[in-house]
Amino acid sequence: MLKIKKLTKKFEDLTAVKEVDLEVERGEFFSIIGPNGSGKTTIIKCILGLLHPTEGDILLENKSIISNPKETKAKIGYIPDEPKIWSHITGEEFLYFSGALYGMDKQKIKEKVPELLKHFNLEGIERKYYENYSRGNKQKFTILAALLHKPDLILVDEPIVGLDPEAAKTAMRLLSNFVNKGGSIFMATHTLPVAEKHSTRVGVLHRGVLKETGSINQLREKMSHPEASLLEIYNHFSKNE
Amino acid sequence: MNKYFSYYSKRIKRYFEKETESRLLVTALMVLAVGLLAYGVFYFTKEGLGFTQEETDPFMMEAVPLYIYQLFFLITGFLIFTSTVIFGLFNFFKNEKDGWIMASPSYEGLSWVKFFRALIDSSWPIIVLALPLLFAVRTVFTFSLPYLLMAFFAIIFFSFFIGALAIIIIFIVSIIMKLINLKSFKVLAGIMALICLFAGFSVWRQVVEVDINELFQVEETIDPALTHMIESFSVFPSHFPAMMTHHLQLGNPGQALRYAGVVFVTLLLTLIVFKSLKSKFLYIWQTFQEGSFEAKSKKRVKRKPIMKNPPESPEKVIFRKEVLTNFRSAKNLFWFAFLMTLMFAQVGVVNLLERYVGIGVSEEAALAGFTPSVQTGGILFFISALILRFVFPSFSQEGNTSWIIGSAPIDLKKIFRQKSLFYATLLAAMGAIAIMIYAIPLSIAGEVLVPLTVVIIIGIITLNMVGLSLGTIFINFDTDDPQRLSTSAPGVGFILISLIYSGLSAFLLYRIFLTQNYQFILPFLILSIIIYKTAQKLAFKSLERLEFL
Repeated sequence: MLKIKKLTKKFEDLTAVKEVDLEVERGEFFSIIGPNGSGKTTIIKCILGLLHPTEGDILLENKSIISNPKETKAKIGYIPDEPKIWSHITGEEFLYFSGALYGMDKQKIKEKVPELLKHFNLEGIERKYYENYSRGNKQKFTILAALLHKPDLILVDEPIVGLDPEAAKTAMRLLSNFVNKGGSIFMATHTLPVAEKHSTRVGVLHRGVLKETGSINQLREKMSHPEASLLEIYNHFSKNE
Repeated sequence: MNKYFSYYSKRIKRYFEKETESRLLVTALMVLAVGLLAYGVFYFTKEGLGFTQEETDPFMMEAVPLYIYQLFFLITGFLIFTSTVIFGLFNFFKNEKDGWIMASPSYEGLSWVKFFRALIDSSWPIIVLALPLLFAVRTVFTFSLPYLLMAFFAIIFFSFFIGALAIIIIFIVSIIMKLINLKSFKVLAGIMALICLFAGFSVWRQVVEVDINELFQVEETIDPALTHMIESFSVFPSHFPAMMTHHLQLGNPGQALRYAGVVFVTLLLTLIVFKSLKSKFLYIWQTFQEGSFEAKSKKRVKRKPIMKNPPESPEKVIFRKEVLTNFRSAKNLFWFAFLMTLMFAQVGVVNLLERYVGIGVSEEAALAGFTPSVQTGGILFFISALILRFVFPSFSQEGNTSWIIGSAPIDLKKIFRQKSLFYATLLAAMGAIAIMIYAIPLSIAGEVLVPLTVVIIIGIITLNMVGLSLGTIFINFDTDDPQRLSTSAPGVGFILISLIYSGLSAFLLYRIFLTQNYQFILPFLILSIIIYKTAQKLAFKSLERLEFL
């Protein structure tokens, strides 16, 4: 589904991401873990076309994101770490706009939005201005916007920051359901318990270099520690320079 | 309070530490642009005052200059008041970065800092209007340096007094609102807008009420004319600096000093009032931080949708988003209304000139086209100010929310086109209203009105594209503050381009009216198309390379 080939991204003299090779299959929940500044968000932004890769290519269903941005972007949903959206619009309007931006039929959007709102119990507040929502509620709307147009792949940057425990559970359930129905998730996080619980595979990113990928059990085997937690896995591979 | 001032002085120093040459250039260009404007006002006022002194008629020598002083200070005062209201409202209560200072025990100092910043930031009309007038008066009537200094400081005090008055009114209205449990910032903004409208209406009524023609007919003695004028304007605070200038002209420094003293005392009084009100700053500030946080709300009310249907296409999303985000923003509306008022006031003043002096309706060909040409340049220049404030920062302001358009399957060029379409339509409509305000009362003939309308509409479309393109080519995601974005080097560059282009348009129109040769429109049209296409092409190229960091 998603193939990242020798991806390198440089900002002047800083190499944020260095020769990353990675594949995410259909129906896979892939988590990339790493500390702040390790390059997780940069990879996501390259996949989304928000940044131009310095070298390498990114393919979605064998089509280059760089040369077919419009076609590939239509198949991607994005949940940013900072749920900032245009000011002076309501949550409902944001969902309407999101659907229309992805070319959805307006009738379909109108049918789908109320259904989605129920997941987070947002009915009744969707016509309030977005800036009046709490951070958690803002995050809920961006999660729903990413699901609205039924993408094939969802890119998630720290999905549960700011959510209350109940909402965090709902968010992860929605993402897991999405994977169960054949969708793929590429999640960047440093909330290790979340990655450990939901991921089918993880990648350890350290200073822009992808150190290791595999299922948690495979990684445990590689470090010969069958009981290792994800934190121990992370520490092991990120120090193994 | 000292730590705040030290912070701001360090900020100014730091501004010049990075990209020193280009930032010094920007500052120099801005000083040059303001200096040119101030010199223009100085020159024309000096010539006008000099003209009044060529007559022996005491009415021309005394009453007309006093009318000019009253008008200048009245308009200066109105501009200072309105701009302090806009700056004060949003800077006192709606600056997202103030939370941590307001949570500290040093919060009271912030009110003084904001107070002085509001006074300084809103005092620009004295640089381009009141001080050039003062220097023109001194050039024509000559008075000694100490009196010039006295008048100089009196004008600055006048500016600070008006600014302080605006802030005190904001505070008093806010306190009353809090007492009656009215916590909406929008209501406060609405009340202040009404107060500004009332002030504007009073100023306009005063300007119209004093009929120059009527004053000219007073033949026996100058006293009734002066008395009538003094009475008409004495209700405004601008009366005091105007009378001070009047007495300096007449060589009555004692009287001038008296009026300067009144200005100083009024400023002192407002400072004392603000000092007593500043303790309420936190009390008021807290009120306007309250939104309607629904997570804590027990009762959820199903409201009617504001937007009933989703847009039909991605392009329409961008157009609708521009409409909603601009027209629902109180700050944007305030600035828009303020700049539009300035434009319509300029159109109105030229109308008055035309009606009283009769330049535009003159039989002489050299004069006949002069006013409509000046009018065209003026309208285009004010539209440029709107472009600089709203269109130029448009792409940069996407900033934190750029992931929405950046990650969507929509070509950035289409977004560019939609933005251009939205602003060009809005500004062309404003230009058309300005033309109507100018043309209808004077019953302008078709042969003047048609080329004037064509040049203005072409000009608006071209300048809109130049502004949007420059803002896109020199995109800046470091800030979403339109004031900071507009005062960058490309922003100043845009103002220079628009000055040249507006001047060229006015000159071309003048040539058309002078020669009655309408073919001059064609090269103007071709030049505008070239500018439009080049700007668009360069913007598209930069969009291809654009990264959303």
